[in-house]
Amino acid sequence: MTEQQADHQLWIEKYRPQTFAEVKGHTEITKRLQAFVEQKNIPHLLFSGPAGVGKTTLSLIIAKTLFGDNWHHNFLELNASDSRGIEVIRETVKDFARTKALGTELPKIILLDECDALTKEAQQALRRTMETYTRTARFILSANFSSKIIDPIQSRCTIFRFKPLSQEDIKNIIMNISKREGLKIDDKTIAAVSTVSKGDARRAENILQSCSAISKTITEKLVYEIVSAAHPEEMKEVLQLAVQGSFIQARDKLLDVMLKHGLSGEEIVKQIQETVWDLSITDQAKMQLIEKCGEIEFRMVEGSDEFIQLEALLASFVLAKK
Amino acid sequence: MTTVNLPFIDKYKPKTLQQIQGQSLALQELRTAVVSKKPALLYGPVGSGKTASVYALANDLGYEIIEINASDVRNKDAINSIIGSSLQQMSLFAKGKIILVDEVDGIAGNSDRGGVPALVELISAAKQAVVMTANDPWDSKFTPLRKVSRLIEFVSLSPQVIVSFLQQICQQEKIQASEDVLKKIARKANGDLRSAILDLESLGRGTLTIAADDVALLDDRLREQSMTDALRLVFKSTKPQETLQAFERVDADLSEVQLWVEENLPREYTGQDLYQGFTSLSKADVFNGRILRWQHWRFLVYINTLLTAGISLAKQEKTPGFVEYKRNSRILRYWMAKQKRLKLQGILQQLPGTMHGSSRQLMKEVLPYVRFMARKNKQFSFGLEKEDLLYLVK
Repeated sequence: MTEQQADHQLWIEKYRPQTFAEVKGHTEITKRLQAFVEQKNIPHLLFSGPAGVGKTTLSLIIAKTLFGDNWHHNFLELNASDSRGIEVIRETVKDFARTKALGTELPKIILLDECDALTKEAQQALRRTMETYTRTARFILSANFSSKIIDPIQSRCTIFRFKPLSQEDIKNIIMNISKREGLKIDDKTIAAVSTVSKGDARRAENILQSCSAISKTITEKLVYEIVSAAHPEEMKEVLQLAVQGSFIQARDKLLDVMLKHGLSGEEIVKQIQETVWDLSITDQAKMQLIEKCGEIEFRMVEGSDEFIQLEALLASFVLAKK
Repeated sequence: MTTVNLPFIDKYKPKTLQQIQGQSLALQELRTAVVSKKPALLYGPVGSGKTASVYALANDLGYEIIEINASDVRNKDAINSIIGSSLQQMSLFAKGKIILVDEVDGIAGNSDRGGVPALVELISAAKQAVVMTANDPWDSKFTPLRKVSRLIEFVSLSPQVIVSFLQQICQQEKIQASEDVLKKIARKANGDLRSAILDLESLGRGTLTIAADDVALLDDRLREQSMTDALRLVFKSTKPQETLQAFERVDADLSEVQLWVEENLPREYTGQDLYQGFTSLSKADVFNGRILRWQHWRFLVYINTLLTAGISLAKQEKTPGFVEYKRNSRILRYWMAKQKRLKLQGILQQLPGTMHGSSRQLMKEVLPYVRFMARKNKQFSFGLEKEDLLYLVK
């Protein structure tokens, strides 16, 4: 291995498929999208599905295939959850869509990520924007859950539902990278990586690259070590602290987790409710706590300070019987 | 002296305009405005004598004052019902009336929908002088108010003016304090006579001399002191009804009180009591949300009850021991976390090759691994600047 090897690029970018042929999995979706591109007629698209299955990658491939070298000028990637408010999006889209695409008669392409993070009102505004610029730009909306997208938008888009990648797809990705990077990995470890990545190619690639930072020979143990370092069971720790009666530490850690990941109160309640089953308390207590989660989620909708509601929820864990 | 027990701030409230120093220009304008029944907007820093001047003037003129302050309901309906009728009629006993709307800054853009237009409407319909006070009248939401009223500026009081006022009090109360000490208090007050008088009182009550060292003890803790006293009453008392007024004398609104209660509840209560206490807080917050949504400010009564009697009743028996209360730092932590996230997002964007995907996903699915690699292997620097790399690794 030469020093050149440390090209410092993240594998998730280095091994991102550049053509339809390179895409692993999603055979049906890829075929249909390819047909759109060949007919040079892209409708508005809605990609729904979990993270790391190829929604952004396929959007990029569409743009690259359509526009060739000019793709950069004719493709805009926006983040609904970052841009904070539809106004910003509308202005950016307006500026981008006002001019015709470079070197082609085709409409430009705008990828709007995390559309389910937009409020209903923002989505209405987005719908109008989509209609206004439909001659000069086509939208690819990406969302984790299509159910959070309002009907008027859904009816204007061709919807593609992405499933998590299959174990086989992930395995192919791992083998391809291992070969090109000179990694030593046995079948058992490949199976471990594909299990922990839960159909998310990005996670599988990140795990592999992290392993390679330590050793070229990848073991099962190393994989698990990395996963628990990258995704610690923070919520479980929070709830265990509360059950033990260390309320102040529990709430401190809860706030930490919430702020670190920028989670909303609703997302936290969801995580808590999923984690309740992993606690060592009686089943009756678990059931009561889950009911409490629902009550708190309801109060959160009615109330004004999410964290106070979360603390109230946490306080009920203090009473849980072992 | 039989009035010893009145707080200094009430005891030495100016009875006539002549007792107010350092604002001669403003006072003249105020008098003219009130006598000619022109609406006036007094503005200037806290404790510069805006409200006191209005009361002193009313006293001089033999007028009656109808006051609304920030804690009252401020939306259109409420303003109409409170002062609408009184504006139209003449006073029975007093020679005239002044409608005093204290601290109009308190009219928030959203929460007091219609408050400003309602005020403007009433000012134009008024048969008496309307006097408003504000700390910062230049907020754009006050533009309509500025158009219809005369702006009168109260300047920040100079230390000399404050010292001379404090000297008068010391004389009356027979408190020995050197000019140096009073100057220190005045400087600390920063133009706010009210806080200077409060400081003097807390140092001077009970003792006859104030030494220079005593002043050093004075700081913002004084304000927190009244808050912690109130909290202690709520947490320790076994008679819920006694706690209802606990926060009335504290210079803080209920949302600040709520933060204090939230922070310190688990320091006082455990187990079942803790659970009950948070149930009370949670319900108070629901009312808060309803106020914001429906503008039904009367819900404040329930918030107050939940935060006082509700918390007090949550305990099964009196909790023993002295507990040090802490200030709530949650809001500050929100801000700091946001800055940190922005910085980390910025660093992620600098990674080689365009990073695709939403930054939320990058933070969740990429950052932990990049951090892991950079920590474990120095070769994995991803071409980042040294400073950024250090921030990432730490």
